Amino acid sequence: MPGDEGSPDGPNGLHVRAKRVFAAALEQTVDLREAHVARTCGGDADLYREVMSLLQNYVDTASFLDHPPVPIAAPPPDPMVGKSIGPYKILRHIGSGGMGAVYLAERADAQFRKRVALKAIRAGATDEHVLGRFQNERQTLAVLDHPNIIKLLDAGSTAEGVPYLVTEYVEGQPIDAYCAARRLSVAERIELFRVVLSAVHYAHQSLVVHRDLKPGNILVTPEGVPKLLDFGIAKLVRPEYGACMGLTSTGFQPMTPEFASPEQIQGQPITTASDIYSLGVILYCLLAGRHPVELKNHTAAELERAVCQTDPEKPSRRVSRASASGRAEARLLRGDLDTIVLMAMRKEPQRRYPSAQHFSEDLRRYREGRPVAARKAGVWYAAAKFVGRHKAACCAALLAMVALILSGATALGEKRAAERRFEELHQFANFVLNDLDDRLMEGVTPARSVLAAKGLAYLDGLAREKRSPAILRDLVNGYLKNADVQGNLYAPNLGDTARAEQSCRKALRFAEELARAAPADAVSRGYLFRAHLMLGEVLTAAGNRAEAQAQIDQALGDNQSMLAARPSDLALLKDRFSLWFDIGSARSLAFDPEGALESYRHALETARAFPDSYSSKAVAIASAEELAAYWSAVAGEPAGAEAVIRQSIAVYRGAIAANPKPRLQRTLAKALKNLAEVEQRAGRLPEALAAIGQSLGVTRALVAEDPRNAQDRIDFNQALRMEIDILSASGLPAEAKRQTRLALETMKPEAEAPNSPYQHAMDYAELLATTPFDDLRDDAAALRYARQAVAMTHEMDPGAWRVAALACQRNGQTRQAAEADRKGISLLPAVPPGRRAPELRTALEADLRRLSAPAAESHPHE
Amino acid sequence: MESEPGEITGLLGKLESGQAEVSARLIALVYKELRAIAGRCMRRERPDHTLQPTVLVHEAYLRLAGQAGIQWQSRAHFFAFAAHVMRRVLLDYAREHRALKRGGGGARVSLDDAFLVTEDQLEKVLILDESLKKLAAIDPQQCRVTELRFFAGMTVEETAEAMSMSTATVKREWSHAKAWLHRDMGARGAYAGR
Repeated sequence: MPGDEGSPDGPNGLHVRAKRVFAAALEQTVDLREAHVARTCGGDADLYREVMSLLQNYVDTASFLDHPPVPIAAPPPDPMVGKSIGPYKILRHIGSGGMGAVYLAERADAQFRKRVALKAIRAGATDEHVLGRFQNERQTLAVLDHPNIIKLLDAGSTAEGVPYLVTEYVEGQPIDAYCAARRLSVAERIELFRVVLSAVHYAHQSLVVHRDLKPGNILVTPEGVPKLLDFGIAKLVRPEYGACMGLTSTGFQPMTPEFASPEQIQGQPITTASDIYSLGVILYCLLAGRHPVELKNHTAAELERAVCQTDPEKPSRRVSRASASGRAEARLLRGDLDTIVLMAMRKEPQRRYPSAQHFSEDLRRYREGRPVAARKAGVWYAAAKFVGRHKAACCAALLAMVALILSGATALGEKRAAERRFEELHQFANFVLNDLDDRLMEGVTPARSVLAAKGLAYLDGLAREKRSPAILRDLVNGYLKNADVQGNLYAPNLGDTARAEQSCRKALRFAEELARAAPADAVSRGYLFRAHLMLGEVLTAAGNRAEAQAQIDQALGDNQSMLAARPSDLALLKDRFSLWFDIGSARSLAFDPEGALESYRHALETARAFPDSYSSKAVAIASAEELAAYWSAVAGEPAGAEAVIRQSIAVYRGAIAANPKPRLQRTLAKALKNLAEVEQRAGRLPEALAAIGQSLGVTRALVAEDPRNAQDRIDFNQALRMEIDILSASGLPAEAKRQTRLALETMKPEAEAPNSPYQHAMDYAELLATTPFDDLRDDAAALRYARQAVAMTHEMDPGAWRVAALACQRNGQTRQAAEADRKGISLLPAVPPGRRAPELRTALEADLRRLSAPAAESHPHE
Repeated sequence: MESEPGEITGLLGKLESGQAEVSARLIALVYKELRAIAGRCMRRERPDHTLQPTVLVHEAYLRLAGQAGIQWQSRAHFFAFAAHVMRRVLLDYAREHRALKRGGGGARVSLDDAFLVTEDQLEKVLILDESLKKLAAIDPQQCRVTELRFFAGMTVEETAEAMSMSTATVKREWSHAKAWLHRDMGARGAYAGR
């Protein structure tokens, strides 16, 4: 009967009785409890035992029961569901990707209802220009009309400014899940994969690179039809994909690292070969059932090593190792299939299958039992020699040009134009791979000039076609990129600068044509702005200051007129600020401290005009002030510089406390280094030492956090060298020696690593050549690395020549040292009248004078 | 709530009559409601997204109590029910977590993170559930107190009010329950390897 349970005599009587005794016992102090219980229970042994056992199990607080789990609030319901965006109504959420959320939507037009997939790009994934890029590329991507490629239908942005893409909606499983669920045989998987390859090939022929191929982007319908998603989208969302001019990688993240190619991970330009690599990894997964890479710690560094350096294990071996039943599977894969997969996954792009079609053909040959091409040492292996020898030297320029061509996905009116372009591209690629190799080996012409010439010919050809705005934009971009390659602003070579100038002028002409065609279009004005800017920079580097000034003024004028229409337009003000900042950097790199100072003062003026609501205003002002102070110290007016820099540092620290972005931390590290330099120049060595120590600390933390970022490692080493200098000057030789040893240890592997930026070799050589510690010297190595640095910079960097001069002298080669000095001087811009010479020039000239003096002995000199 | 008010009342009726099992549907409905409320609470206040369970329950009461057609016998009625729901929710969560841990083999799956809780705690929750079932047969009142104190996270005072008891009684019941449960859970291996 209900109610009985609570009775002391009922079925749970013991429990009920124990409750009272237990409660009373708790009221006693601990030492008196047992006695109390014994007393109260009398002779009831069961009760006594029960209560004592309860007491033993009683924990007052801090037990599991005292800490209930805390519910976390559910994320608010997705505001998009149910909304209408343009003609689309959002039905439900179907997934999330790296770019943002994907929804099933319905287009409810008058006639019919069509289901589509709508992908909303989340704010962090892209920048404010994404919509402009969508509009540019939409035509190209819409032209991708293939039964196995999901068509991009539309693009736009919501009222709140969220950009979105609309594609066909397809129900399907990712290809790896599909194969696993249906238990497809190896042969069936290969055939399915070949369909994918044909789709990729079609897209490549239209000059669209996917850039983010992975199983999740290849859906297979229940009928077994593969459909490729997101073709070309990656470039729209993240345009820095595929645009890389320098030798240094700047640590950006490929969207899906597990399927990214080595060049993607290293931040180098992406080509169709990158897609081939990703396809190779996908095939590997489909055949071996597991991913080629096995990470232990899942760090970025580990992944980079695994992808860029370690050779993948053969799929057959991987399978047989993984399980007992794997032996049988492995037999199917061993041999030709292994070779095919590994060929697609070669580290060097040129060594992979040259096209998806070739890839597919080899698979067909395998299925037909015919010999596969991957095994034969074919024409593609000639490329290996080329790459092997000239990797370092050619990488940047070469890949830049190829990327330029390959990434030129423009609005293609007709297929024929596309085919023709592809043919030209093919010839170009062949030329690069074959003819160029010979020329390099002859050492007759610098690779880049030849490339530049070829590139120009290509562009001129392009210019002869009908000039739609899209083609004009291509032309402007192309010529500007060309100019950048030719007229390396680090160290202008007279010949190259002339060509760079030519390219810029062409770019400008096309930009003007573009602006005339669409005068109200802000995007077109933007191209004009860039063209003026670039031409200005090239002219500065060439020494033509008057006209350079005119061009930069024009650029400023463009910006000004846009600002006049929208004076508090933050984007335009930011452009202006960046413009001045860029000019400042360019001038500092061109060894023009006074020019740099002027620019930063202008930047400061602009920064002060930012609206107060702009969250980065304080940091912008601080950075302009800091750099202006630094350069005024360098240019000879050091008064008060260190106070200003310290103030800016305080601003940076405050900003970092609120938001520790790596970019801000780099700015802080740089500022601390600048402070150290200013203090050192003023003879305040303890302050200099403190500052450089702090700078090292910040950079060290950055390196630890992202070991892939080459620039951080370079910065660290350079800061370390400054510290060594200061320690020596402070009369602390033991410390200096210790740090020198550390520096040499960190810098050596980086200088030796293949594909490493030239600064490593250069800095390492300089340290070796100038250290006063005899037991740390290595003159032969210094010379070797100095020569390497000179070669890597195509003999066009005066800094490298200076290091070479130092190294030569250490080895007693005075004649070569003088030669190096002369070469370095010849590469520096002429000093305008009334201005001081930059320190590098002064150093080179002084060195040369000393070496040329009649009684000069070959003394090793620091 | 998108449910029929009558539906909830009917289901609640079953609860009233002493039926320990509450239908999954009811739980789903109320749970959804609770989380929606939690979402609103969270946005108003805490940046760390955690929530005192009582706030949740109180809000839910305010919200649901006002619903036309739903006859809550008393606040106690509602709170007991909500606590029961939360017990089921936490249990489901713990089971799901355990299943994933066993099956997963390296695949990283994102659980809908409903609770700020450690794996160890989740394991204990599963064992607690067994012990509680046993306790419910012996002393249903203590079981309800435990649900309110632990699953709904209510204070002694709140529990007293919800169950129309004195705080002294609540304390007594809670202490006894804790000891009893601790012992029973221990026998089921909850503290092995500590």
